[in-house]
Amino acid sequence: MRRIIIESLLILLISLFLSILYNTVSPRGIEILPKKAVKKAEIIEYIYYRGYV
Amino acid sequence: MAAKLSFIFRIVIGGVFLLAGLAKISDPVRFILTLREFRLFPEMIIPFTAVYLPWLEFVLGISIFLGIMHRTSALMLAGLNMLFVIAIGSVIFRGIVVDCGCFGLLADMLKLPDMADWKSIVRNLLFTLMCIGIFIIKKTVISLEGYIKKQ
Repeated sequence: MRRIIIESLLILLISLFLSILYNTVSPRGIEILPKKAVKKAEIIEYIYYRGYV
Repeated sequence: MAAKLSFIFRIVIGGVFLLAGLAKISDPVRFILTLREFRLFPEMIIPFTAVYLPWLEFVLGISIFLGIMHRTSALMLAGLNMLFVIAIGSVIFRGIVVDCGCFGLLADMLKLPDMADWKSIVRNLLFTLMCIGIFIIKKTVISLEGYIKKQ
């Protein structure tokens, strides 16, 4: 039973990793999160504000 | 005999879900439209589901095909197939005519029937039975897991 749970979690995580990786890299990738673009802009702004760049 | 039967089920199920996953991975936008037509999921989770579900099918298919963690994968795939049966059943019950989206682009290329109807329910139930068969029969032949254990 424990083996099944661990293996299921592993499979779910591998699929999640591959799907996000493919969606990010592939030109066929789509917007998963509705406000992805806004978040990205906020992160860039934060990095500049903190003086990391 | 049982081990050979499990092997045949593995090849069939693994092959089908590997191809079905790949067909959907190659065209996520089409899968989004299909999921929308089902009118089952909230709009927020549809894009994520359209990206994640084909990869889950692909990983489960490949692991069953190669015979690595195949019993767990078969159990998960049986659950997934039952969800498909419920989803298609609800569409039929509500009288919505829609593509089942099971094989994505592959259905167009091979001109396979891909409507959400009783045939697709029977097909999914058959796949579920095969998955349960793979899970119940503990022994199998020609598997990557068996090969690794031997080394």
